[in-house]
Amino acid sequence: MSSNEVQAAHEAIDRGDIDGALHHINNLSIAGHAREVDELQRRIWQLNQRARQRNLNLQVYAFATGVLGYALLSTQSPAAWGPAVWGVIALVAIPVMVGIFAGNSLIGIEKSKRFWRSFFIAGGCIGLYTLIGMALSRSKMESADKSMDVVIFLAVMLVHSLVAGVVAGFTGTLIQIKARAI
Amino acid sequence: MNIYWHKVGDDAKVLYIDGNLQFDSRDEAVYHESLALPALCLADKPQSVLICGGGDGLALREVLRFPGITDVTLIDCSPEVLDLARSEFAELNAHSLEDSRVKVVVADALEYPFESSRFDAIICDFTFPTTQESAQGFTVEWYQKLKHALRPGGMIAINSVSPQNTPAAFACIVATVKASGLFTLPYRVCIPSFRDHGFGAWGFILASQSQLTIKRLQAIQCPVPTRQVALGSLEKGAHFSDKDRAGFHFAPVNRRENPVLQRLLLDPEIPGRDAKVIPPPEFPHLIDHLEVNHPYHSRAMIETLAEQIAGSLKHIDLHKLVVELSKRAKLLPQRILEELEILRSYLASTVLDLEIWGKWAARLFATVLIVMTIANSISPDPAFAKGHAGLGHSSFSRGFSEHESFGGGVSTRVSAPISSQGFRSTYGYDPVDIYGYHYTPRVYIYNDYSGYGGGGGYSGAGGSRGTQPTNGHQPHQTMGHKPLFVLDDDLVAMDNGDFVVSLSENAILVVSQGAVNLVDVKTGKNLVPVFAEPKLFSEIRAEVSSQAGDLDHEVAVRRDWLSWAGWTSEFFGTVKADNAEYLNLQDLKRRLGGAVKKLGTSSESNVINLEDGAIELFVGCHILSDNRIALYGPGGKVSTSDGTSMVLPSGHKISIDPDLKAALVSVMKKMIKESDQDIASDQTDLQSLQAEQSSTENDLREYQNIQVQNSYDPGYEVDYGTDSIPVEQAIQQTQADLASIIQEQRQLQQSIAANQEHRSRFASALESWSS
Repeated sequence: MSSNEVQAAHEAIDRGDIDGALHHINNLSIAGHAREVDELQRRIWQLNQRARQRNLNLQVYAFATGVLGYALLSTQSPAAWGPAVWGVIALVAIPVMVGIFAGNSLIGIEKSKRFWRSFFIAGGCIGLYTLIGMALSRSKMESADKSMDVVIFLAVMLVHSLVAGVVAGFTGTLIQIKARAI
Repeated sequence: MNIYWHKVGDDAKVLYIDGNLQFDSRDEAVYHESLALPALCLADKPQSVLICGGGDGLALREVLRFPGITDVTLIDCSPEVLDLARSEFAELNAHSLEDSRVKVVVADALEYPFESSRFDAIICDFTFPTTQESAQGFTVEWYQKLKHALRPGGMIAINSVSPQNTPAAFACIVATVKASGLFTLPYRVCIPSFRDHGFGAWGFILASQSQLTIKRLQAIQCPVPTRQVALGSLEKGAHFSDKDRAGFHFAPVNRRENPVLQRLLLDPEIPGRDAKVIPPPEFPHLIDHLEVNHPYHSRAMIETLAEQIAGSLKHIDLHKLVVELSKRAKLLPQRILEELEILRSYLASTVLDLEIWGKWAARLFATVLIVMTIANSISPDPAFAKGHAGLGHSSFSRGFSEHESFGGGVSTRVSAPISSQGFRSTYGYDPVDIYGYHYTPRVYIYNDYSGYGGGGGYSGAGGSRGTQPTNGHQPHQTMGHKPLFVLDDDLVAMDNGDFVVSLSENAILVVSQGAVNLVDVKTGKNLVPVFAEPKLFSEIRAEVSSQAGDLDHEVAVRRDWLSWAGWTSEFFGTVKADNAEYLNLQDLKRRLGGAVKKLGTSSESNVINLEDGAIELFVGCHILSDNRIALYGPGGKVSTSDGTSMVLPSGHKISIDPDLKAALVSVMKKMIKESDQDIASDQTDLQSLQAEQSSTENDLREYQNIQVQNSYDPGYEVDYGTDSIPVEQAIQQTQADLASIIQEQRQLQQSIAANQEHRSRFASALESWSS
């Protein structure tokens, strides 16, 4: 019985079926097979570490996607892109890509965490892009009354970040490209 | 066991055991009623009760209040706590330990032998399991022992841990009770003092040999009144999420041979179902020797608990520890790479968290912000060229510029972007120049030959043309027109699309529809049509084109800005003004385009050359050598006047129009005035050059002296400006500088002579005309 459980647990780990493996481990734990449980839990921990490394990579990809995307977008002003094209790229395309990376880096974790992780990466990137873009654009207008600039910058940045963040968040929450078993 | 208690205020008492809060008398009833009464209510006619732990007597108090209880066995391992219960806490526990139905046993409940099916209700009131030893009261073996001691229909109440802060540990205890063969009903209660100590909502578990459902808890009827808990509402705390309930099934079981509870308490970050994944199993036996600490320890408590540290050290099984380490050491040589790999990945996953990215992103953001702020302060706008070459004083009226044509505004043309507020506030009311400066409005009155209204703008070349005047006396609609845009000191674009060149206070040239007319600006009278020299039209066109380019750039800048912030114009007045400025610039650009179309091209193909001894007063008007004035009209037909009479191209001689004479005289006066100013300016420059020449000659002499004194060293260096160069080279360069200065002086002298000549001619003509 116990050898079957151990075998089944190992096979489940090989498949990447953590829930299944834990079920067998639980049975072994009740039966008092501490040494086997330790070994199996160590394998799961290693599996978990690799998954964490993969997750970390995906989060870096998400951040890099955001930075590169908005860096490319900043080659010309929103007006030069045209409102529709700019809106689609800045508020939909890039956040969706960020969301796919960031959200899928946390498969198996609660949706709320995946949402907020995607939200903050996309929102942070577009916020920085907006702030720099606005500051550069504003610096060319000498005749303007700049007393409210900080508030305007923050307001626009906040709205852009919210929109892009929500798009990325829902993308990261709803679109799951299941990772292959490690 | 370390015991610490203190008073809060006059009455309240708080007890800690091994640093863990046991009760706060202000809300202890919440805890003890929630622990004891549900089990008693749900048990089948309870008479005999076992209390494990709970030496403070407070759970006992609740049990004794329940009707039908005949005997209670209280087992506690701490005589100190029992002493306190009989003394300091006696009033609080209603002297429960002195009740005749109570049997107090000082012993370790885990080792105490229980009779089979002895008790109707069992209450486990153990302290928080800070050590592996104390966690023995939460093992499956212990619960199997309790199950054995419970009568059929009996009920067990278990004090657990926080399902909020340590969900994995709570799930582990539930799973452990289940594994003992008991049915469970976990629930949680919010106890203020526990929450204040960072425990979060507190968890209890009801266990029985028969099925337990939330409905039973919901339908609970308590025969005794409660003080701080409504038992009927406890069922609200028994609802757990799917994830939590999954944890109850999948969580590892805490066994004596495989103790996992303490590890789960040590790593409360592992949420719910993830409690299945126990952290690094490579070091479990080391972790087992660590105690669970809490952040709320006060100074007084730490001082009291200091003894516990020594106690804890004593409890470490060094022999076992060394054995475990030895086992690890034996494995290391074969698995050293794997061990290091695990350590590396563990460190990487722990340290390289996204929070690091977040911190660095914030630092990067702050750095960029600071750099941009400083850069903006140092060089506000490097994007704009500061050296734009405008027409300056190259006057369309050939030098008859008037610096204060409109007064009030700053019209010095140093190229810069729009830096003033004219396009935001006064555009359309006051004339504005390319820098946004606005000027005192001045109305020009003249016949509107184009037929376009002066007040409401114009539609460019799309309108119908009016009748071209053939002479200066043709009556037509005389209207006041406002300047719209100041192109240069003496050239403005009017709101009706005409261009006006200011000649003097009295006279202007209206350039429109391929024609040029001299107009008396005070009466609006068209004095005479003037020869439309093609060069005048091309220069106006070039100036408009140049400034339209600037406008394009400014429009683009504002379009970029508004593409970011345009939608906020409803909230921010400054953005609204930005938008107005953008629209005004676009409007001006459109109007200038229309004005250029309306300007048309000159139909003249000839060029009028100056006669010998003649000088130009303004375009198409020359002062001849005998002080007569030649006025060239359309087709180059010339009329001449000596200030009294006028000889028309047909040869007829008529009296000169007094208004025309006054206009020409005012232009001559203006010219004299400007010539004086030019001469004065040139003389000032000349004096500076003379001083510079003197200084340069001194330098040259000095260099020559040095050269003589150091003739043995041809490479001897001297200061030249901020450089040190050989003296020979310094002499050569100084001689070149001197030659350049002398050349500039000659040019200035020539300019002064020419201006003096012009002034003399203007003055002579003015004198002749005035007489």
